Amino acid sequence: MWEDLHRELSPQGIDIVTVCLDVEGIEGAEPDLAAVDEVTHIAVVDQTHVIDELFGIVNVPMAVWIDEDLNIVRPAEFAWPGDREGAGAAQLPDDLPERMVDMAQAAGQIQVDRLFFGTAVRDWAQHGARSNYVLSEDQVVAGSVRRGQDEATAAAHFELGQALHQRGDIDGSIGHFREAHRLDPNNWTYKRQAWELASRVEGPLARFWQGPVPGQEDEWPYEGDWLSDITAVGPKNYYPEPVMPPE
Amino acid sequence: MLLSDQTVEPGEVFAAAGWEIKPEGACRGPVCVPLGEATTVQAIAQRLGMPLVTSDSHDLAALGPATVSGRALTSAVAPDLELPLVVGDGVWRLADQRGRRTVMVAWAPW
Repeated sequence: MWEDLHRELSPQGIDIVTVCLDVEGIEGAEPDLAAVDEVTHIAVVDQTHVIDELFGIVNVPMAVWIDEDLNIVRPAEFAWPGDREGAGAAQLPDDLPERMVDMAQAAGQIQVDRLFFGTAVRDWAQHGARSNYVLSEDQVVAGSVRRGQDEATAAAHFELGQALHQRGDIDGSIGHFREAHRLDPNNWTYKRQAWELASRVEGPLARFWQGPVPGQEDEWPYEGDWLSDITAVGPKNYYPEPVMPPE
Repeated sequence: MLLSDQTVEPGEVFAAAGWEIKPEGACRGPVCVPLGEATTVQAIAQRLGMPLVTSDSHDLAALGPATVSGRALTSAVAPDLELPLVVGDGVWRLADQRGRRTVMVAWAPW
């Protein structure tokens, strides 16, 4: 999908650069990349979530617009490359585990305008800096996610958690991930990454499970999981609101 | 940003975090934060609102991002970024995108 958008917009001077966020590297992304016949866009991997800190990425998929002079002209916001409906609208296999059915239903209730990004980026392709979707510097800074001491401290804990995980100190990493989740509960990349690392589910659904194995809830090391957390905060709060253009 | 050696030069530490130490203060794009008498990593970090968190069991510390704007971004100037390519060899540098418009998309397999 991102590859298709890159091929459409590249002749108009816009490059799509995809950044795979995963502490464990690119291995988990290989099925997604293999599904693309030929990758012509720039695809990179971020094993330390550096773009979370630098650009205010708090969930995926999110995108940042950067102009020809390397100025950010739209801060991190929900981005969807096509006009497809969300995962919750897809036909589900009959043999899907109950948790995955519940997750798909919750995902279907996430209230984001999936057409906004495509409309906006095509307007930028056509009108460049004159596009109504291009924001001023003040709007870009104000439109980036909130970062006070709690969020910044969460970022430091998350970075330590990653470092300890990569050094094999799993218990130590979990302590820092839990603290990151407590201090910045709106950062879903911190949660989703840690939950994925803790997953004990086998098979192709493992990377989407994001919670305890049924019957083994006592072994789950986190306060929350994807299904309980999105239920608690409400699907409409899953992504930050985009900065809308003037009427 | 990870600090495995807390005696490292402040200029090096803050450059890696996107801040240049100048006579007028710590600067990122058009934003400069006066540093006064602050010269150590800990003191400069405090001026920039960057929390320092240490690991109890490892000789490691992490410096959180600056909080001077109260938002994730301090200015609209894109920070330096260099990441390994997944398709092809080598690294990609955001600086190489100068002259092209870029949509940087974060995604994950999970």
